[in-house]
Amino acid sequence: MKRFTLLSHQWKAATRSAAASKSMGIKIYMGFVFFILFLELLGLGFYLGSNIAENSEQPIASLMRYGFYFFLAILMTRFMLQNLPTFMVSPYLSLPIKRSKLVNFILTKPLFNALNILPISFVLTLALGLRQHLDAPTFWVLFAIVIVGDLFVNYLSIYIKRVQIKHEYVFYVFLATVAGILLLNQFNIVDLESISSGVFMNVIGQPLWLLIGLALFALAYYLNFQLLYKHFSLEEFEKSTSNKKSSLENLNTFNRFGKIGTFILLELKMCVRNKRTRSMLFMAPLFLLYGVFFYNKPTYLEMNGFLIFIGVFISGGFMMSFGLYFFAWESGHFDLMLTANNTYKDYIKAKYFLMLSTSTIIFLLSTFYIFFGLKILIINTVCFLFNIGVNSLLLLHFATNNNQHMDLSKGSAFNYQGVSGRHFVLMIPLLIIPIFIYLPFSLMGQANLGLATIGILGVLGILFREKMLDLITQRFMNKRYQMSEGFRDK
Amino acid sequence: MIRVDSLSKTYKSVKVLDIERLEIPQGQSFGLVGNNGAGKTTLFRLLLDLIKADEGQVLSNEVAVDKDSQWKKYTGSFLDEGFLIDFLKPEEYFEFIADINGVTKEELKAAYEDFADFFGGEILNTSKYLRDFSKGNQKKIGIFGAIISQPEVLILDEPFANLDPSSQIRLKTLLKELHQKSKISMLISSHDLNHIAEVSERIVVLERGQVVKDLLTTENTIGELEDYFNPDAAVETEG
Repeated sequence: MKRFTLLSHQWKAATRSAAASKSMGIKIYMGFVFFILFLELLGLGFYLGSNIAENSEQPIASLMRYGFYFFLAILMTRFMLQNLPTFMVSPYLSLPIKRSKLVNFILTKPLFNALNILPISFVLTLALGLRQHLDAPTFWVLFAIVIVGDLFVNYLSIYIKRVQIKHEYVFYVFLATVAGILLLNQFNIVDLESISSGVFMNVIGQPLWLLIGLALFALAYYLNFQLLYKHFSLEEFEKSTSNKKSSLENLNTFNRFGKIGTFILLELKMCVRNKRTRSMLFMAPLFLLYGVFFYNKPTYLEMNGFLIFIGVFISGGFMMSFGLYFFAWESGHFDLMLTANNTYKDYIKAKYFLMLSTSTIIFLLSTFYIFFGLKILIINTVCFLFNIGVNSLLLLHFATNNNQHMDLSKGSAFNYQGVSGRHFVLMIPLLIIPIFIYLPFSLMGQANLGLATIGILGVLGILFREKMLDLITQRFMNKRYQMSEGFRDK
Repeated sequence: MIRVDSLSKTYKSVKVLDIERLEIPQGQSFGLVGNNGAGKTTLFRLLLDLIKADEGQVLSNEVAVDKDSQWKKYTGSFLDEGFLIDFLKPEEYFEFIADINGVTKEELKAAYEDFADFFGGEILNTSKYLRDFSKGNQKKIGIFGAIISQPEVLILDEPFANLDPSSQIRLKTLLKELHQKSKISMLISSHDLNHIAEVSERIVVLERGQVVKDLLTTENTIGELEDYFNPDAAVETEG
């Protein structure tokens, strides 16, 4: 009886929430997009299945080599897309309902998550492609592996996600672990594929090993239960993080640069002291490492266009992920910025210098890629020049279009509040323009001239930056009412 | 000092503000009252160029506020939490505003001492971020932030709301002193008729975006305002 009451309250909460009242058009559109993606996933499963069936002597064994990646992909997807199961417990706390019952109720929610369909349907289409090589027992074991493994991954991702609310570093430990394992595999220190194949082939040979998977799932469930039981509501869990420590407090170096310095200091404090921006800051080294994954493959080293893409990404990736929302980050105190006694140009210039300096630091660190050849360094240098000369200004220009309020306090990583797909589309030209500049030269056999052109455009952008910043300031002034209105609307 | 010329603002085909002419001379303490939705905050935002007027303009020192930002040099304001930087400590926030306005550290220190009573020991040296303060203390921080630059024009939206009774009384004294000492123009809105009558020389009543009363404060003002806002009395006068 009580459980049904809880369920009905949940139903009401879902149907009456602000998100549910989104316009019908958006819902249909999103539904359509997800449906297409789902179909593509099914198609991919079938294609992979039949492909392996055709090209491999031992299709099942080859398939099992990728089992680990499969579960890793599910883990990352769940981590990114799945919301923590929460539940407004406070109204129920004073009622005679057992605490463990409420906790169990919360913990059954992930079992009904829509994402659960994905791995199962993917494996079913995969099996369909492989049907000639699959006997019934193998199929059922395979199916069981996916279900048990997914249950474990599901509760593991929830656990990590919940713990990182309080202990943010857990998230970075998690990311570093995943990156570390992949790197070890990359440099052939650990062979993930044979480990994966060994483990899963054993399970297929002896299905009783599935019990270990079930035990892992039980452990993950138990950890979740303990965590929730102790801290109960999410709010309570979060509240204990009172922010007594404070960084960058005595940083007076910036005073020398006048108002621009004051703004830069403010911006740095903002980055370090808000969860959302802080996680972005920690992501910065990832952009730097981007090259490692490509430079050691000789085939990539021949593709200059691709190398340019990576070059732009290394020194500009951080700048782009941050710069596109330059004004939106400040939506909480944007009214102050508009009324404070400063010229808009100083305000915008501070942001420009911030991009310049972060990009320069990352570029300097990236010079170690000379290890992979002088060409890499040259390409990265012209891309860096292009980034600080042209892309930085384009970013500031685009940033004036974002007028959605951003909540910096909530959720650290993979928080897409205030972010929309439209914005990511804006980033594409930044990455592609240099390649387009380079291509015609390269086709005429003048590759070096093409690279030089990219660099020269960057230098021109730096030389004429005052003029360009004036234009951006003008645009900012035209857009300021729209922005402040949007930011006020939480 | 501040002049409003046939100013109007419409949201979703509702005219939320429509003022033919309003002039606030230099050194006047000006009180704005009106029920929710009367247009007080809209007027203040227009004065501060935070929203775009549909018609008309606001002149500060004979210069339109949306054309030239001269007014920022001598205008201090605090409307709502949009003026607070929530990840700073109070001292950092004040220093930021002081830096922007060219106020030296010594002047800021002196101001801290003048406001020690108002802060009541709950704000300075607490090493808390602004977002962790109570609403009332945030308000105090914002009000002080608006005053740091020793402005000639001070605009405060409902400064008494959320303050505890002692702080309300301290704020009244403070505002009166400030007005007497430096002859600044003060534009203050409030729902508390007694407070507003005490700190303002002139009171304007807004209703549905229009100026319906413009009074110089006398001992009868409170009575007149109470009559105006009393729902039962309004029916009598209209009937």
